[in-house]
Amino acid sequence: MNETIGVTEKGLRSRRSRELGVFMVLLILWFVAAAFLLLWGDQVYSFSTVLRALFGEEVKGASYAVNTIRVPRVLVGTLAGFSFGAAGNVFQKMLRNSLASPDVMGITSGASAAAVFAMMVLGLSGMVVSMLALLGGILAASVILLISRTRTFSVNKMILTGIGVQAMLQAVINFIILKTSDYNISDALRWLSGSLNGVRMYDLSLFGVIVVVCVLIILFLGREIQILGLGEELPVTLGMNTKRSRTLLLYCAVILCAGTTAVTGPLSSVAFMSGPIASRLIKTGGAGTIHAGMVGAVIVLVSEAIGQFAFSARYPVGVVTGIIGAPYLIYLLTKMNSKG
Amino acid sequence: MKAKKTVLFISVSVLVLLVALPLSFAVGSRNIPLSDLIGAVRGEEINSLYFPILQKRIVRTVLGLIAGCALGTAGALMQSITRNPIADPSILGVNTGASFFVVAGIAFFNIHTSVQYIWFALAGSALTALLVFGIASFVPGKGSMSYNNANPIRLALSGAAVSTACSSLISTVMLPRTNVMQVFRFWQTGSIGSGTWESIRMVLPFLIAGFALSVWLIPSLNVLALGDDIAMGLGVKVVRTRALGAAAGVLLCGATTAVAGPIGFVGLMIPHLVRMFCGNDLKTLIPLSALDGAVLLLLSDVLGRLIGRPGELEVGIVTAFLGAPVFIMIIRKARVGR
Repeated sequence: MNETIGVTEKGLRSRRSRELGVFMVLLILWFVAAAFLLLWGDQVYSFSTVLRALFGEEVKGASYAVNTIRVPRVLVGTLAGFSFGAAGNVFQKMLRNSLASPDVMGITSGASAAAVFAMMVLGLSGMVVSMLALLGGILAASVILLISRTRTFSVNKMILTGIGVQAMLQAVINFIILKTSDYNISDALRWLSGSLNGVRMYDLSLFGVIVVVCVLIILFLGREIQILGLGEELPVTLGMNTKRSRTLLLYCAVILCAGTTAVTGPLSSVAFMSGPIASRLIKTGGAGTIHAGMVGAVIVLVSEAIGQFAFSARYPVGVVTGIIGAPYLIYLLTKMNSKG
Repeated sequence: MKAKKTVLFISVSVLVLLVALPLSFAVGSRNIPLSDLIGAVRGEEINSLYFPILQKRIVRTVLGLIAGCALGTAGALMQSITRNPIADPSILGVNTGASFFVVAGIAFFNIHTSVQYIWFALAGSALTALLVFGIASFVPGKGSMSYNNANPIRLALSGAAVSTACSSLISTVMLPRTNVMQVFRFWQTGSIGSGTWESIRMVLPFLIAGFALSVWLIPSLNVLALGDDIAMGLGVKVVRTRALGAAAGVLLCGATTAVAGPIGFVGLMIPHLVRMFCGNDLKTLIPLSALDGAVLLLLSDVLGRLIGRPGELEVGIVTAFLGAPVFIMIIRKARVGR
């Protein structure tokens, strides 16, 4: 008996230390990417100049570039990556399927469609657009959940339903883009693929609160995610109110996704890439919310750096993540095939 | 019993088509009164105001009929060769593939005539269909590809993945070039409003080849439906039949996409509808899918013109709205695993 406990304890210790190690590595990667995005740009500033500007000293030129443009971009990028990563991970863990992520299932396109509609048709801007996008995402998720509620719950059917709903929403988006005037279209397209260009400090207010609250709830329910991942029957046997926990968690993840989409656009593939990558890094037992979120943040910041500086033209970050994500999705699919 | 149902179904289809045709001539941002239409048929002089409108609407209607036939047939073909209830050009990502090739062609190879568009769109749809189906049926390790592996969920997800990849690539090509963006909008949403006689003439050979091939394949496809082993025993060349069927399907929907842009879900819905009334025999399924594909496309177009006044709602958007719920219904019934 004692031996068993000893082995378990040893396993737990090695797992904890691995988790810590991965976390530190991710933190360093994030720091490097963030520092790069702060220093680099049309004007390259020295480390000390950026630091001085950050601490409120008036440095000619640098203060504006760093505080008004670069810092919000890094902060919003980090939060967006984190929230997509965390939300995707909740979906994937709970539904036990790495393809069941909010961007594959059309929840982000619900938010996108609502936002494009609000901007292009109703001519709104600012906070109202974000609120409508949030509502759009929640609505899309509710419709998908409602439709796929059959007697026997099937994740595959839910994913396929999501793809169907997405096709419809995409038609709405395409229609609005088709009808909008020519000089708006560049904006709309850029925004649809997801971009950090033009984010400002005030974008952070509501968005930041949403992310913090939802992530806290998800972290608080971390154990329940793991239990829900055990299957359909076992959690009930363990005395859990599966329906309530599942609904609460799903809606937290949906709100995270939709709220983020409202600020940055969909940032394709971040949500579904982060969880599996984090799990791969940790190896045993899969990754928790924090690790998945950190991976998401690193992906977004690195992609932003690639999109900004790697090519002669500047690409919004969503295009870069989309191009990284598609081969990964295909890889996941072929792997899923081999399992049968 | 079945024969009676089939006859009834055909009569209703033809009846609806006969209603849809004059509607398609008459309805639009400017309606043409029925009396003038009848006059025009009789060969009387009609109001000179209506003449150019009518001319455009005739082209549009003809294109709608052709495109609907092609999409319906392509859907029936694809569903039968893949044995997959959700096989459809839009699900297989063929449309985004065609769009990507055309956009890339415009940006990098300076293509600008409709013939060139057609070739690029055809190549794009063929390659994408192959890629998506390949991914869905590829099993690493085994070293073999078998279409049996491609169940609905894999097929749909592979299509979605390839579509995502293509749309990201499209954005990459397009964002630095505003001139391509204009053309691209057309390639995002299917519409039969901008067709011309010239473009119809251009794709007609491809479509006729596709139809001929699919009619010729009907007997072998019917045997194939019994299962590969039985089909092989009865002397059907399984691989060849499937490859030719796929080629016909790609010809049909690739050429349609080249003139009308991506019109989704017609190929998905119609064969299911026909099967519901007339059964699985491809001898009735393929011609009736063609007929009802045309009916559906024409009606959707009229509907789009009615709803979208004073402008119009592109037919691709109408079919997506009609088709997505049907897609979800099909999924609910299909066996996709847990």
